[in-house]
Amino acid sequence: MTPESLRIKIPLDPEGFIALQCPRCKDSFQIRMSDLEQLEDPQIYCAQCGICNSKALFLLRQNVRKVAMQHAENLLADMVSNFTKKLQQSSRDSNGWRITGSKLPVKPVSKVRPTLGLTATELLCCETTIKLSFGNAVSIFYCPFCGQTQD
Amino acid sequence: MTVNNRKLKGISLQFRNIASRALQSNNEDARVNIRRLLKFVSETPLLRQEIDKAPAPSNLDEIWGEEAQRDRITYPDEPDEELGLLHAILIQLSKPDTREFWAICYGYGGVRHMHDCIPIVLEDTVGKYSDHLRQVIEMALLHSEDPAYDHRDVSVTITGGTNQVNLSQDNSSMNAQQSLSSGAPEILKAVQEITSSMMNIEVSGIKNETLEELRKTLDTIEEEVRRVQPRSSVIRSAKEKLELLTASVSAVKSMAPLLQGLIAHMGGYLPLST
Repeated sequence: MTPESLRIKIPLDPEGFIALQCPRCKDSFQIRMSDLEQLEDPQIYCAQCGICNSKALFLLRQNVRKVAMQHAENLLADMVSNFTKKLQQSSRDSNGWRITGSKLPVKPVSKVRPTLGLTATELLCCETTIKLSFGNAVSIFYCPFCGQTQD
Repeated sequence: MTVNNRKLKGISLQFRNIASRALQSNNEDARVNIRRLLKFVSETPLLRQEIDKAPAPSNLDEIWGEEAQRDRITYPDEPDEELGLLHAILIQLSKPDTREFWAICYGYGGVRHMHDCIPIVLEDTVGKYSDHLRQVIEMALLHSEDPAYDHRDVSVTITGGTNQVNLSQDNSSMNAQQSLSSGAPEILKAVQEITSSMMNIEVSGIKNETLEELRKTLDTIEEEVRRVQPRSSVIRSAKEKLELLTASVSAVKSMAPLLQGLIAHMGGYLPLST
């Protein structure tokens, strides 16, 4: 069976920032999409806990995960429906028995929404800007690109 | 213990890199990565001190022994006891064992899949341990001093205005040197030239009120420029008045270039944005 791939659009905020979520501490922050594209290192540091992890894991925020799961469920429903349809067709000519089935419903998939309301802060080490939540009175945070402590 | 800000930032980065690697370990490299983490902690006095203060658990076998139930770890109430327990568990986990690493983690927290149980064990041990020690470094950073910042002597050159610059960072002091492209000496000199011209040249073509107005404006300019902090609003309005008066005195040809020269100097003296 060939693997199916799903494409999920993650919108940027009006200033071109993409939201990331630390797979460990679950805190969210935003970086410029252009910075993410230019980053050669496959890993980035969490701005809040400073632990690094793969870029892809940071992109899988809870709401992105949710949308991906909805897509996957619909894909599975589609595959099961197609399989049932083929069985129905193949059993049409059989004597004495028949397979019937109804198509599984496809659920509506929600859209990933951009994260808003974080505060922009400059990083002198990498000469760029990120957005953070200062709701928890963060006094120390980390550069997602080089990991330097910012205070 | 006093460690300077920059050194602490270096320790923080190194520590987080080693902890990150340990957290992402798999069956093959988990033990070596945990050993690296423990070695870094024992070789860093700030962290070592914290571990020494944390009491070692008396019932480690019950919590993490071979016979122990692989439920999730029950952490003690006190943070330093928790740190002591985590340190002891990590030492156990890092020891060479005939069993594979996954076999030790197998069943932890009710997880039956080999690939799933390792990250959960690492998060509950290495993750919590590194969170404790990261906070120790952060607290030290918040209370640290940076001699590199404190002894900074920055020279700033500002051109083209009377802008007042207030710069400060942490406890650093900044010496700002202001060099003006068209400064007060030129303005004062131009004012004096105009004043003496008014006495020497034939000014019969100019109304007395205009001359009086011009004198007053020149006095205002001189007085303002001699102030410690000249006000740009006063200089700007005096400049505008001079521009109006230039038209009125245009009949006296030798006066106009002098006034235009003064206006140009004042323009350079005003902030660039205005």
